[in-house]
Amino acid sequence: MNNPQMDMDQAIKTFKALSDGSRLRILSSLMEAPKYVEIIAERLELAPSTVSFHLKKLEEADLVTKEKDQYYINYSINSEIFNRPLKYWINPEHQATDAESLREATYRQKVLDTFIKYHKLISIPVQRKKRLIILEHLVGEFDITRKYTEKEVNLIIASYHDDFATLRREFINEKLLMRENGIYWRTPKAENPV
Amino acid sequence: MTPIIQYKALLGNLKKEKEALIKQFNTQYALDDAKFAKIELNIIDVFEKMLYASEKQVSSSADDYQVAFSKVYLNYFEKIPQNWREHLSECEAYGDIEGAHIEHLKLNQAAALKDAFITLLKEEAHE
Repeated sequence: MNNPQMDMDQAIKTFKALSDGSRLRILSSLMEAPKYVEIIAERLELAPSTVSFHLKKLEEADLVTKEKDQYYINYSINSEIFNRPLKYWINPEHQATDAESLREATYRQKVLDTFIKYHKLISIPVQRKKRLIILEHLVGEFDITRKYTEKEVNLIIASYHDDFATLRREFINEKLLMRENGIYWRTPKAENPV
Repeated sequence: MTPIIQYKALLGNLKKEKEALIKQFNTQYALDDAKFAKIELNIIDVFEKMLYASEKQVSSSADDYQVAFSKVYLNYFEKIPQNWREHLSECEAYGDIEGAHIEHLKLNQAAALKDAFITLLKEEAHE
């Protein structure tokens, strides 16, 4: 569960760690390859104790990781942190929302890839969640600006699946199509499918 | 040139080096390092002041002025860092990384100045 105060604390710690020229130079050096303290000190012309101090600050902010080699401790960039978009640090909840959206989009595509092959619906999904994804995809075949007779609706649906009656009924049940006196049209909900 | 005069020149040069380093770090936006260099500069300042204080304490007509002076001056290297050692222990106990690093810098700078002074005395003794 997100703890907003902890997220804010971590964000502040991270930005404070980054707001120093020597620490940026150390990170830049580590981006080339993992290194131990003495090598970094030599490259950047800083005292090893100062480099150790900076690495501790970077470690506190989760920006670097360390691994014990035979004789040395090697420091590396924490790629997971550096791959985060900047907006994550401003509001981590956005990232959580984006991740969720990405998961949903991925799931949606997987369902479409499973049930629709070569512009044909292989079968009508039993599970409502999957069926709704398919219906929301198929309703895109209907123009939002016009009305259709039942025969026209059947023809459009039949191009995907023989059981046009069931699918037509499902369009109505899920309010993706509306019907009055045998005339059908797309609903506003259908305009913006999930 | 006596060791004391050489040592005064050394302190002057060290202070100039630190001032240049502070300027360089500020240019590089290495603000923490600039702060640390300023702390080291302050330590050099402190022991330079103690140098002049020691001169006032020891009579210039003393039998062995240099020995008397050295005794007074080196005593400051025992007394002054004591507080820094105590503070260092506290910082380490509480995980205060920056505090501990600063106390280390002060202790190391003081130790370096003491070593430099003793080296100059020994060099003269060997001449």
